Amino acid sequence: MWRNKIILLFVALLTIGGVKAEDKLVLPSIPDSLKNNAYSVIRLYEQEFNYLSDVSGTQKETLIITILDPKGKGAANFNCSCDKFRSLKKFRGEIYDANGNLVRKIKQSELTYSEYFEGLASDQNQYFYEYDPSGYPFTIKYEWEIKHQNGLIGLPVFLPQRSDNQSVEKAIYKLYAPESTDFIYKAINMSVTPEKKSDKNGSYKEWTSINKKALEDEPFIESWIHWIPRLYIVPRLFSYDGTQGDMSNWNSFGKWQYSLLDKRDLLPDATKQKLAELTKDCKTDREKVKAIYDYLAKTTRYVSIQLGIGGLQPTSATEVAKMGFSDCKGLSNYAKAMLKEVGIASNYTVISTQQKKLLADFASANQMNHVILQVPLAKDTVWLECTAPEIPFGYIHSNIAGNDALVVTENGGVFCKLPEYSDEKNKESHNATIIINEDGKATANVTQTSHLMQYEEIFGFAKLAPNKQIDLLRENISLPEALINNISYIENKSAEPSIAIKYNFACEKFGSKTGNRMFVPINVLRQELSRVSNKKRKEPISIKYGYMDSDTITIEVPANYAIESIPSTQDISNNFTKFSSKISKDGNKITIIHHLLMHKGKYDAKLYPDFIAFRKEISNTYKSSIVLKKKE
Amino acid sequence: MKRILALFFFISSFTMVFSQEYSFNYGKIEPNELSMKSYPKDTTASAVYIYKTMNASYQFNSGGFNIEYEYASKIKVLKSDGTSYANINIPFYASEVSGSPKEMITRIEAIAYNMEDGKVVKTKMSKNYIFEERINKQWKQIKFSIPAVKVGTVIEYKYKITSERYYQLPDWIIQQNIPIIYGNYEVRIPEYFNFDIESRGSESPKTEEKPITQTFIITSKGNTETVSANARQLNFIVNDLSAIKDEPNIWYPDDYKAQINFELRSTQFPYSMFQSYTTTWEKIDERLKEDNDFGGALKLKNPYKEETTALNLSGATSIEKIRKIFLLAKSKIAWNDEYGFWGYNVKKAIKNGTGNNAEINFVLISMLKDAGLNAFPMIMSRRSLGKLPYTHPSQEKINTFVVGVNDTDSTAVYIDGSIKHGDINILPPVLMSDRVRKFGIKGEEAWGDLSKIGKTSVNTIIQGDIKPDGTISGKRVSYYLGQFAANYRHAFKEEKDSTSFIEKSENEYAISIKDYTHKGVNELSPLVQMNYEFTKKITCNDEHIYLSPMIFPHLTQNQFTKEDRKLPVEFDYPYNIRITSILNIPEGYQIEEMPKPIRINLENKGCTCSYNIATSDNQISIAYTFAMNTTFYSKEEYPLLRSLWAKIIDKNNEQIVLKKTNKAAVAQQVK
Repeated sequence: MWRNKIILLFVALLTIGGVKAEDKLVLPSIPDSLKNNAYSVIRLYEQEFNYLSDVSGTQKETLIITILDPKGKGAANFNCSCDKFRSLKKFRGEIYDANGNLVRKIKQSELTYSEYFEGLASDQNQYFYEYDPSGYPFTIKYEWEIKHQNGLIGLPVFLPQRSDNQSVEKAIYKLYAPESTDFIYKAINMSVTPEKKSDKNGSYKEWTSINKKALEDEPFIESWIHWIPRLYIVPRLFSYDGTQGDMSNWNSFGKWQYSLLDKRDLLPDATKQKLAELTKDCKTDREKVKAIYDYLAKTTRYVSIQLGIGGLQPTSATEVAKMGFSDCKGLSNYAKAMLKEVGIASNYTVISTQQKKLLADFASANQMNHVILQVPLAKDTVWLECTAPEIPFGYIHSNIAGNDALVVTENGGVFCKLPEYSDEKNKESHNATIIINEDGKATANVTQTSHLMQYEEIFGFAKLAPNKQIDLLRENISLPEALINNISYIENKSAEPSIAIKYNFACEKFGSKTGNRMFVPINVLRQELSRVSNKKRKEPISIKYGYMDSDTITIEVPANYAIESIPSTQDISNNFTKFSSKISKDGNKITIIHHLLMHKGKYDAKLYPDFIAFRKEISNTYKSSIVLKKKE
Repeated sequence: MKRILALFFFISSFTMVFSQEYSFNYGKIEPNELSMKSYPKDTTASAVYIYKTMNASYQFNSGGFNIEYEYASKIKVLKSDGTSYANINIPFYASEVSGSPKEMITRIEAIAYNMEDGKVVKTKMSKNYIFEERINKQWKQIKFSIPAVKVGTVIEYKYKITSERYYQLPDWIIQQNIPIIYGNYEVRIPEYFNFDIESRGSESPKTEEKPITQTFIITSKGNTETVSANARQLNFIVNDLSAIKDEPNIWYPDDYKAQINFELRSTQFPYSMFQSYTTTWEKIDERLKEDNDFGGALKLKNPYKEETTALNLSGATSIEKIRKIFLLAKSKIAWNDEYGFWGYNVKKAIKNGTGNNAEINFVLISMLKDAGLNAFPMIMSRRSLGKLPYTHPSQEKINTFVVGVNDTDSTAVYIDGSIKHGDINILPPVLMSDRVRKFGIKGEEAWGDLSKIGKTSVNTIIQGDIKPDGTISGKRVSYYLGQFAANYRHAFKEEKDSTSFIEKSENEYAISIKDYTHKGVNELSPLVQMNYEFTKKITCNDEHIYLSPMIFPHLTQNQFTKEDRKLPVEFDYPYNIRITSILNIPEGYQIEEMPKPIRINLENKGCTCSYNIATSDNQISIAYTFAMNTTFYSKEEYPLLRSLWAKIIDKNNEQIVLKKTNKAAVAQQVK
C-alpha cells in the first residue's frame, strides 16, 4: 500500500508540465444578446470532416467555450465516445481565466478512459475530462481528432448547441470530399445550402451557424432538440463493417436492414418440435402468435450486447435459442423466426423510444434506438415488444404507441406510424367508501382500477411481495398515517390491459378535529397536479400523455355531526382538460365525484396562463375539505 | 399399530429428503433444487443462494506471496426478476500504473440446470460470452451472462482471483438482497501474517478455527526450498441468512450486514524483521507521520505566502483569520468534488488549481500555521463508508481528514476544503462523523465527535392579518443557522435566479410573495436571514373563516410510510425548528374553534415537538418548536418515529374557525 503511493507520486511529478506566462487567448467580448439566459457561450465550434473513402475519414474538432455561471460548469466537460468505427487520435486542451490568461494545458493522458457499459458487452469506450474552476467566468479550448474506419453509415452530426442555457457565437461545419461522392443533406433550423470554399487541404463545403441565443428549459416542453440547429449528412451509398447499402430513402435503408437479417432465422430442431407442440391446439393465427409470445416470455431475458455491426444486426435465432438471452434486435428476430416456423409472417420493425417522429424525408440509422416485431394478421396487426414479454399480448406500451416506425420487409423499408390509444382509455378510477366515527377515525374500502398507460404505472404489482404492495398503495394516499390491509386484485392481461385492486385502509385521524368542528378531506386518493412556473412562456406547451382520472368517494359521517360547509361544485373545460367536481349529500352520506380528462397534444404558448390556472384549481379541489359541526 | 408405522415412515422419509435437499458441491444438483417453487423462509425472494462460498489461501509464486480466492455460487431462480442473478460482474484491481499489484481472474465456469420433460438438462456457458472491460484507471471488470436461464433454473458458477495484494484480505460482506441457505468463507493464513478479524452484523457468521500446516515452495537464485509453516484455517459459516435490502435514511447500510473484516496487524517473514502495522492507533499515527505523503505533506510550506501576508491578519481574531485564509485557499484551489486522504498530489493541486479535500486541507494547514494558528488533521472515515472500528485499530478504514484549529486553548473549530455553502463548523454532513481522531494525540483524548458541531436551526417569525375577503397577508422573517444556512445557499444557487427561487416557495406554500430580501447568502458565515411579505387564500363562507394557523407548516408529508424496516434510521445532524406566529383577527369576527396546545415527544426525548396557542384581544399567537436531538434510531424505534411524524403532521394541519359576529353582519347590512 505504501509502495504504490510512492510510484503514483513519481508519476504525478512527471505530468506537471510547464506553462508560459505569455500564452493568452484574445477573444472579442460576448454580445449581451448571447449572454441573456446563458450559463455558457460557445465562442467557436468548428467541426471538420475529411471523407477519405466510403469506409474511412478524419473528424477534426475545435471547441472554445466560455462558462459564465457555475450552473453551466458541465458544458466545459470533454466527452468523446469511440467504438470499432471511431478512435480518438489526438487531443489537447487549454484553460484560460477571465482575462484570457492561460491557466494550464490539458494532455490526452489526463483524460479519463472507461469502457464501462451497462449491458453485457459493447465495443464502445469513452474519454472524459472535467474541469473544476476556482472562479467564473473561464474559457476552455479543446482540439481533437477522431479517425473513422470500418465504415461510414453516416457522417458525424453537426449539433453546435448542446444544451439549454447555452448560446453560440459561431459554429462551422466543413466537409472535404471528392466531388464524385454523392451525399444527402438534411438541415433543421439552419440553411442546408453550403458555401463552396477551398484552402490548402482542397475544396470543401462550409455551413455556418452564428449568434444562436440561449434557450430556456420550460416545463411541459417538447425536447429542445426541436429548436436547435442540426445538420445531418449521409453518403447515398455507404459501406459499413463489410456490408453495402443505399441511404437514398427509408425504403432503400430498409432493404439494407433486411439484408442483415438474411439466414439469421434458422432454429434448432428441438425448438421447432417445441413450437409444433405449443401451437398444435391453437385454432387461429392470433392464438399461435400468443402461444409463441408466451413461450418467449418464459424462456428468454433481455441482455444487451452491442459489438461492431451487431449494434444494427441481430444475433442469429439459433444462438438466441441456445443462450436464452439477447437484446431487442436478437429477441425480435428470434420471435420472427419462431413465427415463421409455424407459418406466420412477421416484420422486423425499427423504432425510436425517444422521438415520436422520424424525419420522413431523410433516412439515417441514428434516428432509431429500438426494435419490435410487426405481425400482420387477417383482421388486425399485432405489435410485439420482445424485450419485456410480460407486457400483455397485443398492447402497445406508451414508449412506442403513436411513434413513427420503419417496418423492414423483403421489399425494403415501409414508413409507418404505430397505433395509439385515446386519452379516455388511459383511465384510473377509485371507488371508495369511507366511514368516519366521531373521533375522526376512518375505515375505508377502496377499489382502484387502472387501465392501459395507468396500468403500466403499476405494472408488476402482482409480482411484488405483500409488504411492498402495501408500500406502493400507501404512497398514493395523502394522509400522514394509514394502515392498509386486505389487498386483493384481478389483473386483466388483455390487449387493453387493466388491474383492479381492492384494499381497505384505516386511519386514526382521518377527520381533523378542532373543538366541535371536524375537517374531512374530500379526496385523499389523488395528489395535487405538479405546480408549474409562472414565468412568461416562450415555447408551445406539450402534453405528452393524455389520461382520465375518475373517482367516486362516499363518506359516511358520524350521526351526531352536521355538515356545516362543503366545497362547491366545479366544472372546468378548456383546450387542455375537462374537469368536474360534484358533491352531494344524502342523510349522513356525502358522495364526491371527481372526473378529470387530460388531453395530450401541443398547445400555443399564449394559453399558458390557463394552463397554470386549471392545474392550481384542480389541485385545490383535491385538497379541499368538508367541515362538520357537532350537533348541539 | 398402523398409525404408528405411518408416522414412523413419515419421519424417516422426511429426514431422508432433508439430508438430500441441497448439494453444496460444484457440479452436483439435487432434484429438490429444481422442483422447489419458493424458498419457504422467505416466500418473497426472487432468487435464493443455495450456497455462496469463497476459499482464500496464500501461495508463494515468482518471488512473492499471492492470495488465491476461489469463489463459487449456486442460485435458484424463483421469480422472473431473479433471472438477473445470471448476469455477473466481477470487478478486479488492475491499476494502469506500472508496478502496481495485479489481480487476475481465471477458471471461470458456469452452468444452468433446467428440468425439461422430467430430465435434468445442463447448459454450460461458452467462453465467447465472457467479456472484460476497463472501468477506470484502477479497476477492470469481467462480465458474463449464463445461458438458458428462466424461472425455475438453478445456476451455478465459479471463478478464481489471484491477487498480489497479499497484505489485504478484503472485507467479506456475505449478506445480500436475496437469502442465502449456506455460506462459507474459508481462509488459510500462514503464521507470517497476523490479522485482526472482526465478525459483524445482527446475524453474524459463526467462526470455526483449526491449526494446519502449509507448505510453500520458494525458488531463489536457482535454489528451491520447501518451507513448512503453521497456519490458521478459519471458516466463517452462515445458515439461512435472511435478505437485507438497502433503505433510505442510512449512511452506510453495509455496517449492518453480516460480514467479516480483516485488518493486517503485523508480518513476520522467515529471516526478516517483525513488522508491525496497526497494533495501536498511536502506531498508525507514527507511521502516518513518517510517511512522506501524509506527515511530509503536513510540513508543506505555505504556497501563498505573499497573499497570506497581504491579508493583513494581525489584530484579527482567530475566527476572522480562519475565514480569510479559507477564502484565499478556496480562491486558489477549487474542490473537485472528491474526498481523499493522501498528499502525493498536493503540488499538482496547487499548480492546477483543483484538488480533493485532503489536498486543499494540507494547504489550509500550512497557511493557518503560517498565520500562527495551531491547525491539525482530524482523521476519520466518511459516514458513507462506515466509521473507524471500535474493536481494533484500522489503517484501511481511514479515508479522509478535516482541519481542526484551536480557537482558544480549550476549544477547537473545524473546517474542510469541501465546504461549499457552509462555514467554520458547518461541514458537509458526510464528514460529521462521531468517531474522529485528532492526529498525533495519544490515548482516549485523541477521540472526537463532529456529529454535533455547529448549531443548526431555523427561527421563523410571522405576523399576519386575517381578512374577511378570504386572504391572510403578512410578513415573514426566517433566520437559518448552521446546516440550514448552507442548505439555503445551496438551494438558492441551484435556481436560475431569485425569481425562480421565490416561485418555488410560492408553490410550496400556495402563497404569493413580494418584497423578498435575504442576507448572508454569499458570505462565509453561519447565518442567512430571509424576509418577505406574503398573501395566501383561505377558505371562507358567509358565516365562517377556516384556516390553518401554521401558514408555513413544518411537516406536511410523512417520509416514514413503509410498513417495516430492517435497518436503523439516521438523520444527518441534530436541529431545531421554531415558528412563532401572531395573527390578527379581523374586526367583526370571533374565534369559534381553536386547536389545543400539545407536546409530542419520543419517550427518550430524542425528538420533541411543542405547539402552544393562545389568544389575547384580537390576536392569535402560536409558538411551535421541534427539536431533533438524537440522530440515530434503531429499527425497533422505527414504528415510533413513523407515528410521531404522523402526529406532528396532523397538528400542523389543524384548523382555526372564526365566526362572524352580529356586529359585522349589521355593519355589512348598513353598507
